[in-house]
Amino acid sequence: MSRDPVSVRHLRILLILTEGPLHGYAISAAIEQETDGAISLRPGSLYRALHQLLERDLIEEVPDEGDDARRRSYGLTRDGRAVLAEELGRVGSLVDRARRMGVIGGDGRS
Amino acid sequence: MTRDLDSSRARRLFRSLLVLFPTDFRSRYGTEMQTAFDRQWESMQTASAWRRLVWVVATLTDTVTSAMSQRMHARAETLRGHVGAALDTALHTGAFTLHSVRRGPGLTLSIVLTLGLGIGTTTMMYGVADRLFLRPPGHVADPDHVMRLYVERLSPFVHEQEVSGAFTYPDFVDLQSVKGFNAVAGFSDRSYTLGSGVAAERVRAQLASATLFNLLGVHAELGRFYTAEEDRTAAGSDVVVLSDAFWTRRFGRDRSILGQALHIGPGIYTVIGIAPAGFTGTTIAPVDVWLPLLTTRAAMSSSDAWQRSRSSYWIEMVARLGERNDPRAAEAEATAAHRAGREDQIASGRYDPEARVILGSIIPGRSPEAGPEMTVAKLLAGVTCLVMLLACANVANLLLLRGVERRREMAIRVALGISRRRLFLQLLAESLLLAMVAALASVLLARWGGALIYRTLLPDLDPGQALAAPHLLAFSALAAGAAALLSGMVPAALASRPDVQRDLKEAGRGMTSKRLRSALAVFQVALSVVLLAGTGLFVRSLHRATALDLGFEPDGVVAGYVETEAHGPEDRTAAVLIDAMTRLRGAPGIEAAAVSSLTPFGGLFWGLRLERATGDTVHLPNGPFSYAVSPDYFRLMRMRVIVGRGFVPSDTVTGAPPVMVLTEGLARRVFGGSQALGQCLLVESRSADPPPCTEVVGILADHRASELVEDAAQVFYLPLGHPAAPEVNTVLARGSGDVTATLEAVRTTLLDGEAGVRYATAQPVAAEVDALTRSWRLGATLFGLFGGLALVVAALGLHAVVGFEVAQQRGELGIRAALGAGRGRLVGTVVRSAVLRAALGSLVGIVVVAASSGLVRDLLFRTSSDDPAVLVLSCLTLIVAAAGAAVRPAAAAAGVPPSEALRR
Repeated sequence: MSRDPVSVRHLRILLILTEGPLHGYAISAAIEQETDGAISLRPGSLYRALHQLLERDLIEEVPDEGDDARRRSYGLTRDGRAVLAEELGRVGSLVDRARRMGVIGGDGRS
Repeated sequence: MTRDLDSSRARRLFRSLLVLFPTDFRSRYGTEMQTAFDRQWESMQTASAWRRLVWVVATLTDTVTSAMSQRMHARAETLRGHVGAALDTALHTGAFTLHSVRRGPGLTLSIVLTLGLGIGTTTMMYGVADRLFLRPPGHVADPDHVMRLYVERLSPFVHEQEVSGAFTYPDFVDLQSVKGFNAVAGFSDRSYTLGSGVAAERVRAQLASATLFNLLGVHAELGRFYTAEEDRTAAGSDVVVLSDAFWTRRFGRDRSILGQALHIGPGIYTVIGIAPAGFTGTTIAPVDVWLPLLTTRAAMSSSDAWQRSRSSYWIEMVARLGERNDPRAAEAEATAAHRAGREDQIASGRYDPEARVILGSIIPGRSPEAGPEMTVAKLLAGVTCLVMLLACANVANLLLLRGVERRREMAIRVALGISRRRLFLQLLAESLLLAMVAALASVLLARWGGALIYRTLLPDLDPGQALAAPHLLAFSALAAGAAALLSGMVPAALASRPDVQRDLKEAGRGMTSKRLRSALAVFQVALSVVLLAGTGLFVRSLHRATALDLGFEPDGVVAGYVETEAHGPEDRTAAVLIDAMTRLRGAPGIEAAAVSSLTPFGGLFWGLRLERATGDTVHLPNGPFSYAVSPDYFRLMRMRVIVGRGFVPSDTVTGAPPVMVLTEGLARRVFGGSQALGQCLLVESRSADPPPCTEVVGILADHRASELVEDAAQVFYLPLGHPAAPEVNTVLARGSGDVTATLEAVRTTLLDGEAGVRYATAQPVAAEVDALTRSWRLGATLFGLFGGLALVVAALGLHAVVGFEVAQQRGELGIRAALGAGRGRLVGTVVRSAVLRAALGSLVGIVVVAASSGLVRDLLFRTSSDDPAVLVLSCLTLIVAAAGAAVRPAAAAAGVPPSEALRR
């Protein structure tokens, strides 16, 4: 079954969440860390993205031990996992193709 | 300390910006966002002041833009919720539709096609109706205050009440003084020759008073319009304004045309301006050139008698209402002025004392003079609504079928917790989606079909004035919305209320839906009967009108007309025509040639008074009309001389004893039962005083000369050379071959003949007769088109319904087959139910036709509006179509192997 494509920002969030549920802030921090600070999600963008992913049922709220409203965690749903796999496959084949065409080098950077 | 202060200020700023987010978003994520902000802010504390500043600006900007995006998103969501989850569902629906197209493309295709037809025909007719009934002619400023003037009176010519837009020049002068009008303008449409010789062409000229342009509020595109000083009976200026279309067609938009001289009609005119594109004066008929009214009229005559004539009706008028803007008061004033001007005539009993000036709309279809085309157009508008209804009924039926097919799906959805309201809206959205697809397709149909209707209904109009695409698109979208609601409401309501328990087990048949389907099928048949009956009535009228014995045979006869260079006393028209007649006689392919003053259906002349020898005038409510003809005329026209003889060459010699031929009807009116032949009648004439005694030498079988609807015309014929004979105006030829060859022969003979022919034209006499059968031809063609469509739609609808029911009853039918029911019997059962519905629908249709027959009565020719043959034939056609539509599904059903039936 094919679904609507997911934006790169959403993809990053989904990818981070494969390691387990995280709080909003933790997600942005992880992305920032992973990209060496090249990409940082400000609160507005972050929560808009989370809201959209929630609406599409790709992530879900995970009950936290502390039950603190400020520390809600978000985890991948089954759909989210499927979409991520599908999307990464798509991106992967695109990168492969770009590499074969010589547009980018072996390490995936241009 | 500074750090804390900084921190709290940044936090406050961020929190205040959160207000920009939609409330529900804020209440859900606000606290979390604040937390995220705090944590990110903390992590920035080690960075340089510059980087912190950049971070703050970037974060706040992001907050604002995110809030805005979210708001827009939220609004779109709300909209979606309200309009019925439309887009969302449409996409889901699209997926489902594709799925069902693959499973059974017929149903979806039928829905789209049927809706396309309905929307297309409605849109198409809207384009035409808009032009005729809704919009005033182009470039008219403040059109509500511009009125056409008409007079309602006893006709000065024939004994009947008429509404006429034609006035005499003195009438025009009388009405100028009416206080209720700001301005009054006069105009007169003519066909004039431009240039001369082989390159000459006819142009549509409008003689218009200088006041017309100001009154309408139009400004020249190039140059100027003429002034009152240029439009005068004496010492006016010969100036001309070209229409934009004519300027383009004839002169390729060459600006240097201004100042050049053109030979148009009676004079040489200097081009002073170009009217704006789309300006056609006060009517929608195209105009090529505008000439000053009075200057041109004066140039046409050697005397100024026309300025005093109260019997030469040639000016039409428009007026702009004055400040008071009171049409009724203006009408009263105008009527008073009109009667005052005609005081002498009224006193001597020569003019209707009750004559009344009335104001009419300048919107073409609302004119009190509107011809039968307008009535046909109105009917057609109604008919297209019927087609639309029919299409909606059909689609509703198809949707009901689909609803039944999807019961299981609906039941699952409801079981999964989707609200019924949402389901209903989703289903409606699905109809809307299909209707929109249909609407897109229908715009093409509307553009193409609209042009077709335009050409058929209004051949004289410029199709460029047809409706622009954006209007059509908008209307078509509107129509699609209406169609979707009309056809989708009930099926959606029914389908969204599935009986979950039963439908999950797939046992339901849905009685409501079934009854509704039957009712819709009956309704479709009824509408189709109405349309087919309409077609039948018009076809029958047309047939009767064309089969009418005219008393002569117009087919194969061509009439030729010329315009000679010089007018007035040395007019050589008659000489040119007689010369052409002589030469045509020897031409190949020409059986006979003649000349006459007029052709039947080409006009009437009642200028001659007929007196019995006893001295009393022959008074007839209509006519008598008179013709002057050459001896071969009766043979050429194939008119039958029943008593006595026709004319012979010796009758036309100057000084020959005056003779005449009468039609049977006129002879009876004049002489009663007694013998007419050999009797003498006095024909009043300007050249012979006292009028000579003219002997009746022949009686012609009655023939028609102007109207098909009325009785035969009362006509008398004089030979050329008779002192009272009207002037010869046309040469006639009957060809043995193709009429186009005859047309060409006549035209070239006229042009190649004596010098001084400025323009020559020829046309089939049958064309004049055809013009009179036009409204029936139109009705037959257009009703036939829609009636045929209706039949197809109804047959498709019945086919779908029967096919579906058969599919539903497969089990039952199979079991019956297994129990030994014959194949023929099974087919019979299915076909019978379809025929029964068609019969029921036909009954309803007949009732509707009977109830609405008054609408078409006046448009029919010798055909009763509830003509039994037409009704029976329409019903039979539908019943046969219904049976035909049922045969295939029935045969399929009868072929179900009992084994399969029992397995189910």
